[in-house]
Amino acid sequence: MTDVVFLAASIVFFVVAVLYVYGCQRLKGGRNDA
Amino acid sequence: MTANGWLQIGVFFVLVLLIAKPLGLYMAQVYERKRTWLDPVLGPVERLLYKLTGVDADVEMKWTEYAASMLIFSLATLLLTYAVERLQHWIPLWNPQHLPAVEPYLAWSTAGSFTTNTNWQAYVPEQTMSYLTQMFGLATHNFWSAAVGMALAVAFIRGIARREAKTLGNFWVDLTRGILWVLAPICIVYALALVSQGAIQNFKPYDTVKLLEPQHVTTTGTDGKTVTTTVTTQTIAQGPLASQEAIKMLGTNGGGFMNANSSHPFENPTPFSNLMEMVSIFAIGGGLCVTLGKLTGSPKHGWAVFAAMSILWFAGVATCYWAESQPNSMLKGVDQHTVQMGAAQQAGGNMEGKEVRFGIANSALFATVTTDASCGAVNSMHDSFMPLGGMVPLANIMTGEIIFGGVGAGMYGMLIFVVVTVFIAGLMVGRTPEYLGKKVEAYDVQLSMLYLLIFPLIILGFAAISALLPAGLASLSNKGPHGLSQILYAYTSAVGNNGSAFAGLNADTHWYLVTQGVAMLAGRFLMIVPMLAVAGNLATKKIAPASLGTFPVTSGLFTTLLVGVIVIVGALTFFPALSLGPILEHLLLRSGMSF
Repeated sequence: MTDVVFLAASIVFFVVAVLYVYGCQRLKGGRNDA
Repeated sequence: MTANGWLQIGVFFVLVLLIAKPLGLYMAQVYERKRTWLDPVLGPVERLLYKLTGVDADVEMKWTEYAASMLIFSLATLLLTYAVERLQHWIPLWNPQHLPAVEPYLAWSTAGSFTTNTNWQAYVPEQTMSYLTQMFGLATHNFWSAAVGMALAVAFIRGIARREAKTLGNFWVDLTRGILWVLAPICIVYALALVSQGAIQNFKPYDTVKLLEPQHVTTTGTDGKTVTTTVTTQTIAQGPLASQEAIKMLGTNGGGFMNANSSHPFENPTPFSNLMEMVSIFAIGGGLCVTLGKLTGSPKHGWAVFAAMSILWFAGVATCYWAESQPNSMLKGVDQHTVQMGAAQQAGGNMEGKEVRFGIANSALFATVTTDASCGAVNSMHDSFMPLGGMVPLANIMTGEIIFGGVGAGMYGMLIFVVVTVFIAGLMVGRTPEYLGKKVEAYDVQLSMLYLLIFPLIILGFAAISALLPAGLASLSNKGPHGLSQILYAYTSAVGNNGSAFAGLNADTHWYLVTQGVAMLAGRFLMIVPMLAVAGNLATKKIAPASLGTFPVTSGLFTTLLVGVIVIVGALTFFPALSLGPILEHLLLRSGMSF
């Protein structure tokens, strides 16, 4: 059971990291961007 | 401090300087896929690997694709290492001690630790990891995580060097070439050199030897009764050490085969091996400065960055060497104080936690070098340093380990500081900041600041919570400011992906294993993403010709400003925490109080 929790937690972390990539890319379109 | 000690420190730096140029130019050739003398041997291997994995080496990636590839690779290797640790008792290969499966909390924390190039070890390796886990689960990660860092640094450099480009290179190609052309060949020669010094390399079961003199050990049981046992034998751990030691140092990983790390005579047998180990920590970081100069077409810029790193390194080693050379004021009036004061026949100073064969100069130098870079290997125990001596490794990691730094990670961290420095210089003169002809704009600064702010946020956040919770405080071996330093060091080391420890803290608890695991992953990947975004954005820009308003990034003024920005950012962020930890401990020690 603990193995499954750690497996899931690892995958969730990296999914969040991929979303973070998307977020950083979206920031480019912000109003302060030159 | 002695002239001999300074001479050894000087020899170390000269060697780093001599290695930087040839290695840096070689790495530029490797990452630009230009011809090298190893091509006839490694070219077919590279092509075979691409064929087997379906990689098209000629396809370049946008920064988002580069980041996604790196994240997928890191997740896959993390899970692989976790599986190896958990299943090691079922795998008949190379487990002569029949070690059981690694407990899941520890296995996850360790898998994250090695994936992120941290190599924090909350376990005794020779009692926990089979030879297969050490080699396949951990040593391979040393190659992978180091090569990932180098690839990322080169991607950033390409972002600076390219004009109006959408791509930063191919992650899989950079990863493969970093391992095949740089890390593997050097490590083969390096491991053999370590063997020549006495490092071991075998697959034998551990040796048991009879002690010359039986030892009586008294322990207190759970029922409070004391039991005295007589010990007549000693177990001497064996294993494939030399091969792991080489990449541990060159790749600035730092995870030891033995618990005592580089203070163990099998890992670091002689003063010469000690010198090799220290030089190899800085070798790639120093070389990447030359690579930066070569690929951006501005060799002087590479050397200006090298100079900034050197100044910060020297400030650290001088402080640490001075602090450790002082006698402990608490010992005044006892015989030990006389010993620590020094005499004609011996140098004196704080020898607690240090190897006699390395002495104070080489211990202070090793501690400085291993924390300037994100190595984390140790040849002395940082927890036993004087308060200000111990503050140096802590402060080094707090700068973001950009002083030569972790392989690749140090370079891209330093380049983020360069972007901020150029921005500040632009603000000072009221001109649009430019970095080697690239206009530094709002998006670049926003993401650079995100990179710089994530780091202290995670460290100070976790340290503050741990300093309040019983689960965090239960692991401390010392109270007061020294205890705070232990907690602060643990999270600084984790987030900075260093891996060295103030060993007084027991991190093998569920609280520390989980929070440090998260801290290591966040400290690595949540900083890499904005860094790659800056690189990707810089690559798309035109290169404007230099004008009177351009701030030159090749001058002494640039180096001075860069050092100033690094120190001020570090001081502003961490000075309050340092004041409550090592600085307060130093002041209290001088007034006769210890913890």
